Amino acid sequence: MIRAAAWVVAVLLAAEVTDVAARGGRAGGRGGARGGFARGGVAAGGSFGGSAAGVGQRGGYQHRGPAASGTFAGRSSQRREWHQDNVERRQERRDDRQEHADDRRDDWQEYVEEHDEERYQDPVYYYGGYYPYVDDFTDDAAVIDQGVVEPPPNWTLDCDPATVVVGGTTYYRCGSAWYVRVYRGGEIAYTMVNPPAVR
Amino acid sequence: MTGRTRIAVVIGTCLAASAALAEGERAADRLQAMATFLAAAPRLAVTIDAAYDVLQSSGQKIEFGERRTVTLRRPDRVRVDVTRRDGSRRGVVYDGTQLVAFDSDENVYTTVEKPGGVDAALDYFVETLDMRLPLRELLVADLPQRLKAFGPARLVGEEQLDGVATDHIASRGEATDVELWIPRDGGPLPKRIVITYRLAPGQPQFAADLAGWNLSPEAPDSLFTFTPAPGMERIRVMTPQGKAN
Repeated sequence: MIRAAAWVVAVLLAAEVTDVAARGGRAGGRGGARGGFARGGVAAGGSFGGSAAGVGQRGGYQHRGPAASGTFAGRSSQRREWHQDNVERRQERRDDRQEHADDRRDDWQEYVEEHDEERYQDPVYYYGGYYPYVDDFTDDAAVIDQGVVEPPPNWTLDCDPATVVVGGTTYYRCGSAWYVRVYRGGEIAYTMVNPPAVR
Repeated sequence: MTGRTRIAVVIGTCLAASAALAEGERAADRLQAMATFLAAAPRLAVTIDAAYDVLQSSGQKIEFGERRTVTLRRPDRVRVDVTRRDGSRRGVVYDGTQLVAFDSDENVYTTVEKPGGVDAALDYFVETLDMRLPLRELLVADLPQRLKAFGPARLVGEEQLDGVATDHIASRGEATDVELWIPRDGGPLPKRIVITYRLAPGQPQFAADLAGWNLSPEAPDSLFTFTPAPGMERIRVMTPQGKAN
């Protein structure tokens, strides 16, 4: 009896394999785990699901994230972040900083001073706060290393800024803080800078 | 279990393993055929309709999307024009010595010197400058080597996409899962690519439908020359720590 069952299994297995080969490697029948891949799962249902409609943020959705890169392996900078598992902590820090633009300048200076030794490594490329700062574009440096101390990104400004154009650069003023636009992570962001030089 | 029974089971198992191996080889062959074909093309153009998830701080996943028109002229010219679903327009131009990223709605652009050809320039653009250029891997000449190093490929099955018979191929890298749909007939030019960022919070996906493949597009020098519009402001690129050089 057992012997007969084993033969049946073997014959069926061989028949299936032959069928696969005859179809040029095409995966097996409908349903189940064709080709060894499960086809079911939550997303396969395509249902809108439960009634827990998210409240979320009104407007102002974030546009940036790992999938926006569309790279096969993920950007190296992103992979580091995933491994560090610090995305939420960074977001909290960003949110805190964006709440109080005027206070931020003082906080930022304190933060920078804690890293006093590191911040003067390459002053030409620093860009913000009380760094040795190139306040116009005469050095023609197109790329700025954000430095050891990561300046807080501002995807939007939380005020209706006054603008001043100096040396071809538009400066945005929120209270006592001044900003210019930069590319950061492929998007336009505002970064804090020294006030523009008065000529 | 008798000797004959064991033999039967072993034969069956071997045949199944052999078929799985054949499918794996076929998947790898299809991927390499695609990579070799793309890498050897002197010029190409394609339109990419892409969508990607962004995990919000609330935990909600939101999809955004854009259309990219890509023109490549090897060895040293590339242009990508992007229109997002919200209508905003931006792009990237490389003329062999200078990379330009521009944003027509913000009315800004940036220029970075990077001689050395498309491969080096695009890698620099993404990995060093931390800028966005989805699916740039399809444009580089060492795509076959990159895919070989990525991870083993498997054939999910034969599937119809817009009436075209395709091989659905899946591969798994260290941090991402990549799926490609490659037509079974004609040039092995991918019709669809899905990338899952497996290690990222929320496991967001990037999905792209590729259409309008053209291997002999019009690609005059003027297409790769960027002239800023009047009033356009030049801004800088801020890179992650230690990447500026």
